[in-house]
Amino acid sequence: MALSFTSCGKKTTPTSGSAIQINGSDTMLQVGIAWADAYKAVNPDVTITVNGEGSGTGIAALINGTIEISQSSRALKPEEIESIKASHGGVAPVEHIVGYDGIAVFVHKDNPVKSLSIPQLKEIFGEGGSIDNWNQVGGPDLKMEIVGRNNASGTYVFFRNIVCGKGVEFKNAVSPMSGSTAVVEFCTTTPAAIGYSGMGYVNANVGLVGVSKEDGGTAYEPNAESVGSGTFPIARPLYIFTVGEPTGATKDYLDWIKGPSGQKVVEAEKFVALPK
Amino acid sequence: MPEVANTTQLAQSRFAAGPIEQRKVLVEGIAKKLMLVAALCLIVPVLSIITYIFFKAAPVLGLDFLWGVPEGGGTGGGIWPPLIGTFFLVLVSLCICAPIGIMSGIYLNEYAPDNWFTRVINMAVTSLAGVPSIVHALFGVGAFVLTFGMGESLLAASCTIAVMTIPVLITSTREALSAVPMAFRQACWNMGATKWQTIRTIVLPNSISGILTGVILEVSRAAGETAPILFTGAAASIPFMADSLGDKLMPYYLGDKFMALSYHLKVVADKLNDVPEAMKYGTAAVLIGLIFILNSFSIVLRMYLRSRKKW
Amino acid sequence: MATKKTSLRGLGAKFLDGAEPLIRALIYASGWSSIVFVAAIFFFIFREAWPILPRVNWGEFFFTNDWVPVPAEGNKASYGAMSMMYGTISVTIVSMVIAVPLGLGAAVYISEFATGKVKESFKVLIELLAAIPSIVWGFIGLVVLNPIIQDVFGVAVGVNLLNGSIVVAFMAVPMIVSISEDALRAVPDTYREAALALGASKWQIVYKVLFPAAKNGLLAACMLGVGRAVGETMAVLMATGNGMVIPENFANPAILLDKVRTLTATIVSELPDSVHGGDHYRMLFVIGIVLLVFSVVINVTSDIIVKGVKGDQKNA
Repeated sequence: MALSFTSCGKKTTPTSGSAIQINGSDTMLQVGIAWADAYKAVNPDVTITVNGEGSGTGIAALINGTIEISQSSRALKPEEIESIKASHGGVAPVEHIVGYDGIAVFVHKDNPVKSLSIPQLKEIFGEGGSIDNWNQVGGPDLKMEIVGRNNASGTYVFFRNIVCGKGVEFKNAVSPMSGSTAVVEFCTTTPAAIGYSGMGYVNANVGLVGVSKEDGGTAYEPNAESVGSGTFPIARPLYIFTVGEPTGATKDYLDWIKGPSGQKVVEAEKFVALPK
Repeated sequence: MPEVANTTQLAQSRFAAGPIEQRKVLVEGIAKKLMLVAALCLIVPVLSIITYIFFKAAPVLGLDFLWGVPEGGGTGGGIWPPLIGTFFLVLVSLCICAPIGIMSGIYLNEYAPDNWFTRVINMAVTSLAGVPSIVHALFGVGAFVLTFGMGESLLAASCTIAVMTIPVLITSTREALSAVPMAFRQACWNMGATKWQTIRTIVLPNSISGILTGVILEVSRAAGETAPILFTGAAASIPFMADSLGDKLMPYYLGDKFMALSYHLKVVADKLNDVPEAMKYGTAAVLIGLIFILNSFSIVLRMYLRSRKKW
Repeated sequence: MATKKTSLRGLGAKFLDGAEPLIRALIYASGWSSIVFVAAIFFFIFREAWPILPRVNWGEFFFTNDWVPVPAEGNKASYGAMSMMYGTISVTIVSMVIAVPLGLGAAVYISEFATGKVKESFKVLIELLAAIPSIVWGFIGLVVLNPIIQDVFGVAVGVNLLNGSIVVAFMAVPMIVSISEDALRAVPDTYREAALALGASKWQIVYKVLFPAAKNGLLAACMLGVGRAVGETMAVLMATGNGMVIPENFANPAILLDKVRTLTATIVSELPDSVHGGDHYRMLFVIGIVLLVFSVVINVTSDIIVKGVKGDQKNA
């Protein structure tokens, strides 16, 4: 049954060029689309379908064998590795690092606060934290409107683990928005906003604060240099997962992504390229 | 004319309104105005917002936009792939739900006995119509994507949409059939025709416009839905070759993921960064335009049907 | 030519007549299919949620407010959905406060006061209103209403309970109008004539005669509006601001300008991030069960209110 349904897809039959199905992280949707768009000029015979509702869907689709490439902003969990092995005859997933991302802390453009430390961020985002007004961190007397990604996204988990550390959850006042862009849009239009999402979503209309490891330490904004050298405290790799070592068109595509042209796209999408 | 005025004056003097009568007239006037305001409150803001959307979309609206392919997932270029994707989605879902929905309507109006079981069916139709779209989405994931092995595909999304929109067709078919006078059927039975012969030769030809109206409503509903296709087959981006006509006209097969206009609007409005405003408004305007055109068809068809009706 | 055509047609008719048993079987099967579909929806949603159902802490689910599907190291996951229930309930109530008077008013105007072209145009426009897709409403809430609410109320955030409720109200209103109008039209004209003969004004007829006579239909219209508001997904995801805080003081009208998150928005935004087959994934299906059961109950109840327990299917 499964065979008969999937075999009626044009994009999945090898006769008319090859097809690569990609799903996964919301953070990597934009760069994924940009890769696919640019690759069209390199190899027009490959059709690349890109989706990006969340890292979990990509991994689920990898387990079900409906996609070749899963983009993810978080590492695989042990139970996910087991599921992939179980459904693919023991073949383990392979992790490819294709770029780096610093999780940027966004505020409104007119916000005078230019830097925050990790302990301050913990007081803002973490449960039981004492900061909920901008005047507590040198800003105007304005109640903070705190937003973030949804409570299961890779970005959320990573940011929370770095900022709050062990055993501390976010406040309920942190509103989970529907995606990275929604977070940035919210910070663009809301004077009291503070939010976080991948640095690829930075644009000219939103404000960015520098982040320092400790109170009084040097604050860094996420950019190629600070993320590349590891001085930006909330940086993480961007992953691509495949089941086993990739072959054929998928391998070509991955090699291209890791090569100079693909990495140029990473930079153009405002993420950080792999070290040369 | 003066005579009329005189009569009125006479009536006014003789039957001058007492305080109760005056109050009645006053309340009547206020009530009528309030009702009108309520009706206008629904129409006017929405029409202005839609006009505003079209106004904002004006810079991009044009053939290039409709026929072009998205660049950077939708930050530039056109919207042909999602547009044709919506067309395919609607077509496949219609192929699945039209036969079932129409025959179900025929059953309920022509065959169903008046008993508790029919009552249960009717309640099932009502319930099916009221199930939230996100629950239909979960059902689509559990049933079509996972259990029936369709994966995330055009077929799985179409099946999900079909189940969701079947009540639309059942209800409008039943309404269309019940508008055919009983006497027509009786006349046919008296000629010795069987039930099916009567339906085929008398009832269906006399209700076909009504059924078509239902079909169009199904189409417009299917074209606008987002939640049910989100997890069952819609893709954010499928890069297209802009110059391949074949690719543009037959871009998706049943097992493929597809782009759809409704999901594309979510992607450009809520997911991608740096999307020019006109692109967002343009996508919204095309979706609204498409649905209004479809609905206008159904309205015109119904008016034509009513004007032609001889009984 | 003509004879050939008739003979062909005759042949077709013969075939169609001969196939009557088959066609009847198909029609019966289709007729019963709705029951199958509803049962299938229940089956598949319960099946995905099944493994976690015995372990769900219902007290936590309904009465606590910490929704932490992926806990920090050392903590346990918790699934307290109270703030989302508050979100769903508050959006429903506020949107109905807007939609019911507008909907009933418009229905009365269209059915009793308007005539001729005005009546027809209002009906057509409201039908078009019903056709605007959920995602477009979300877009309107996010892009158009958001800055308006920020300006008018001078608040920091324009995507909030009020925004979402306005959007949902406009989505639910066409259904309220059309069902109320049906209910009003179903009141026999003799009622109106009798009242008119007693010297009642139109408004008095509406208020004293039609409302009592059509009260079941009007109630059902409002209930279906509630069902629509509870189930609405894409529009509320984009327009409500997704806040997860339950206000302390419900008497304070400022809660209208708080961000809220509904049950539906939670499913649609978290399902893609959940680990497939994990507890979180299954809890989202549990929310699906809550929504499904609620929608079926409300639809069946309103059906019974209109048609009675036995129902009169010919007048359906």
